[in-house]
Amino acid sequence: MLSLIRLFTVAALALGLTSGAAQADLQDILDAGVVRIGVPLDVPVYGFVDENQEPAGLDIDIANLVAEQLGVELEMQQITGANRIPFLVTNKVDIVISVMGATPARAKSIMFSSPYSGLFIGLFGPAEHAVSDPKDLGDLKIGVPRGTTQDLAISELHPDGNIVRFEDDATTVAAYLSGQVDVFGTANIVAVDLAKQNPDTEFATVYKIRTSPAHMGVRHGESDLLRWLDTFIFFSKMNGSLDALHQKWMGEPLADLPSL
Amino acid sequence: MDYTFRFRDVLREQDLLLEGALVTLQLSGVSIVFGLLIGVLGAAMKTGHYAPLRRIAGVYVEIIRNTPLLVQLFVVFFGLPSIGIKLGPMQAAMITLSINLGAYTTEIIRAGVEAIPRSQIEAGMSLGLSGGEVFRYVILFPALKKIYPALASQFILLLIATSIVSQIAAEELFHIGAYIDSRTFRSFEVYTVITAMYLVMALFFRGAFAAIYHFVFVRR
Repeated sequence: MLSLIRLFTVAALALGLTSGAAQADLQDILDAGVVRIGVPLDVPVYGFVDENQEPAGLDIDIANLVAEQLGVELEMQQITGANRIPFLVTNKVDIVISVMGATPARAKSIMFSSPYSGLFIGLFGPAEHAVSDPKDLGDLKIGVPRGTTQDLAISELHPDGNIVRFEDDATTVAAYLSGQVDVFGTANIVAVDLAKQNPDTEFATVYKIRTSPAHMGVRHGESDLLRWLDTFIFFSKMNGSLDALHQKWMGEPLADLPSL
Repeated sequence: MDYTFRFRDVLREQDLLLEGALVTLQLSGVSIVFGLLIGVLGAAMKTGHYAPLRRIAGVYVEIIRNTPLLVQLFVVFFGLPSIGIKLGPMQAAMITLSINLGAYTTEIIRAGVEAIPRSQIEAGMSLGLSGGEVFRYVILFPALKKIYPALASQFILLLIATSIVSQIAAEELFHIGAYIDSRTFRSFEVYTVITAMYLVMALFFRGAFAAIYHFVFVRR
């Protein structure tokens, strides 16, 4: 009988039906002395496997900082974009730090902290081309992957521009690297990663198109933990440690983030 | 199966579509002219007496005919800038398509030239024609007549293959279609319209080639 109940519990956990089940709120984490944090390893700059086969990146550093500030041990769990919310709601991790954007649909399943980082899409290239209005790019060749946010945004902001539309991200980057376009559109984390692989080419931000803040996630009902994380983020912003981490991984300080 | 076609969003862009079709015709036209010239030259080299020239033409044909057109295009567009040769999308497309077509026409024309009976060439020489005259009147012209159908269908294949150059952002018909698709998300309608336009252009080419055959080879 007991094993049957256990079986049902496991099944319920697997299906994510644990809304009323054991919660691991702040006090439980402090009592246990361990915090389980889900981090990505497939998003370069935020979370990846470094040359020593160790997890590295901004999200990993922040997870370490969270555990340090909580004064507990860190148990890192690798998650992907698709399973990060299921891992959280089925109580496999306590916190998800994984460049997650806050949306009303996701907020039905989990709670979001204040933003701790910001991705942005923009135009990248030599610093000398930097502009505050895309129209100032004049006749410079702007490479974008066809139909993406950067294509649609630049087509609207600079309709007479010399926009060269490629099939995908890879050909757009190839066009920039071979000098076929003067600047190109992508996400800043892609540009940072490209800059590491191509140290001789300049990948300065030419124009910021749109910012998309990244939030941490916790289970519904764990308000104490959420409040603690918000305090942690606020504190880390004020004492400069978030800025330092962004400088380390992105090469530039933390952008101004809206609050949640 | 209750899809509602909405061609209006696509046909609103008819100016862009016609522009794209013109670029496709321009690409095809230029490449056919240069491809044919390269083909005649290549065939002359391959069937000629000089072994080094025969070998050069052979290597050219084998390299081009045994590698994908897309790869050739990327080598020209993304690769050549590394050694200082920077070509725009249209230039890169025209050069690559001409070189690619040239290899195929070399082989087609060579086949025609080799099909000319030895006795016909000897007849030309015994009439006192020079080497160049023999090649032009006794070999090339009858050879072109023999292989004209194969040549014409190779040209139509080229017209169809031009859609590949959208990959390097040359703004021909397919590129325009994909552009409209990315704005309207009317994929089915966009590509139906594009298909019809390619079909019309290919049939137009076929008709034009038939007319050329009639005027050049039949009415003599």
